[in-house]
Amino acid sequence: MRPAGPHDARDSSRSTWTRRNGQVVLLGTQCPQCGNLAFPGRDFCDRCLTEMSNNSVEIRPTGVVYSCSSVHVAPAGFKVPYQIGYVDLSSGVRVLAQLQGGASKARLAPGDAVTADAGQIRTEPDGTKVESYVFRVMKDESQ
Amino acid sequence: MSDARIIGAGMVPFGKWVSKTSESIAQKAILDAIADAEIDRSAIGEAFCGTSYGGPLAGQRALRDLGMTGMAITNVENACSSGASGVREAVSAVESGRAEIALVFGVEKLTKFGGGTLPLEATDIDVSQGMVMPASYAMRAQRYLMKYGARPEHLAMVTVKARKMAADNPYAQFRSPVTVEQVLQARMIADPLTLLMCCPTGDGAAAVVIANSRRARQLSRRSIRIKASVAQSGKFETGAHDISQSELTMRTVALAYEQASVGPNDINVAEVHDAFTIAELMYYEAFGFCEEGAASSLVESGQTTIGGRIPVNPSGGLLCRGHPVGATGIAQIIECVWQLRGDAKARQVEGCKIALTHCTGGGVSGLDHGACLIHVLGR
Repeated sequence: MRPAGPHDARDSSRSTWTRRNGQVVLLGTQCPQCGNLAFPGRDFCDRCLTEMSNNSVEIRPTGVVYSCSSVHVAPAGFKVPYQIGYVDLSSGVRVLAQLQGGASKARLAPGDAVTADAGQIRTEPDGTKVESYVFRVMKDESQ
Repeated sequence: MSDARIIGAGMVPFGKWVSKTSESIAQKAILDAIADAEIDRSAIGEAFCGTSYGGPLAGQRALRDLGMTGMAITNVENACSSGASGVREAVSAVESGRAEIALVFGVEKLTKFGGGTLPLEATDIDVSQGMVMPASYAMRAQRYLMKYGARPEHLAMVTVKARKMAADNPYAQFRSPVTVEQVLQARMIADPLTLLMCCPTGDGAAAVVIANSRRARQLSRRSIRIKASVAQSGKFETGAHDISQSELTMRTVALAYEQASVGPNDINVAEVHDAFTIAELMYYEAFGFCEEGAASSLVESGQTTIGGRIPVNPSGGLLCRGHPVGATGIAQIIECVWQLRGDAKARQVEGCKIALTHCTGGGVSGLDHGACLIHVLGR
């Protein structure tokens, strides 16, 4: 299993996620000038054009599902059906990722509180399993 | 208001042209457009080719065997809006005086991919996670249904309407009627969108000949004026935003109405980008054909069929004609040329004076869509 690349599985110049103390965190960049938070990380701030390539930040991957769909027809390498969705993170960033349920493995719906975990998202033609951040239902911390 | 007029139009029926090359598909459409314009090929001063998957120099490859090389040939790629983007470039060419007459054609041969969803750019982060075009529209549909209390039946009604009108269009692939139940029970592609709520791909080509108004009047008594030719791109948006409305299409149509000096009530017929049924509903609202949230009532009322207040996609749209990406924008324009000339036969919209065509598309992470092109045509 290897991590999915940032923009391209074959381009490892910038990672989009890592593990910190056993937890998945997303890696973005933040503009040193205006504070604009970018995920995935970018070389330049789209608001003020300041270079931010060297200003990487960890983004806490908790948020709420905004919209989602179960995909039944997909390119080779993706095992159908799988659910993908937009997750609005508490940091204000919207991320598209696979939703892989939780302990119940249930399909997620808009409004569900989720957090990132690592999971397999597809398989390369050579059989390599590609791992990435996926979102699962957040455990109820009061229990 | 632009100074360009369409003097000739030609297209091939869209479908599965497995044994033909994309060049030969394009050549048939080009020759039909030139014949329709009643000009000699030597009168064409410049050519544009719109294609997304046609590879390098698709325009030169198609025109070479017609003895039409030597002039400026420019290839235009803008995903689903490639052909319409080529039209806008041709309008600029004749308005600037660079050419008096320009040829534009769009061509695509998608059967070479063997079916499935359109291949997207693998370097896009959303695509690498599993994004496909049906899913991007499915997520819009989910939000739209939630926000406005519309039902999957309304998504199905768009297909039922499209099939009904395509029955009279020999250029469309899917011409047999379907019921709401059949659409809802079809195989799921990306919920809530079933197979029959998604446009087919296919092969096809469409071509138009565009001239400045002075030359157009000399050459033709039935030329069609391009009253507006507008392009915009999606704005980069990485935070929370509402996807149940198309900001890009709303922004583009406002510019088009302004350029053509018309409003939504002036449009007699529209050919819109119904790649997925939810899109047509959202665009009714974006064009001002109804109030926000009222698109499901509008399609249910029958007012968007021929004979209704604002017929949309009398050709059957992308849902029935199919979507050979680069050819679609020009096919929409040709349908409207025929409607405005009164040549649309059994699917003629009566009293057609002003028409609108709209295509948009392309999946790019962070953008509503890559490009949106709107043309307003009149007699």
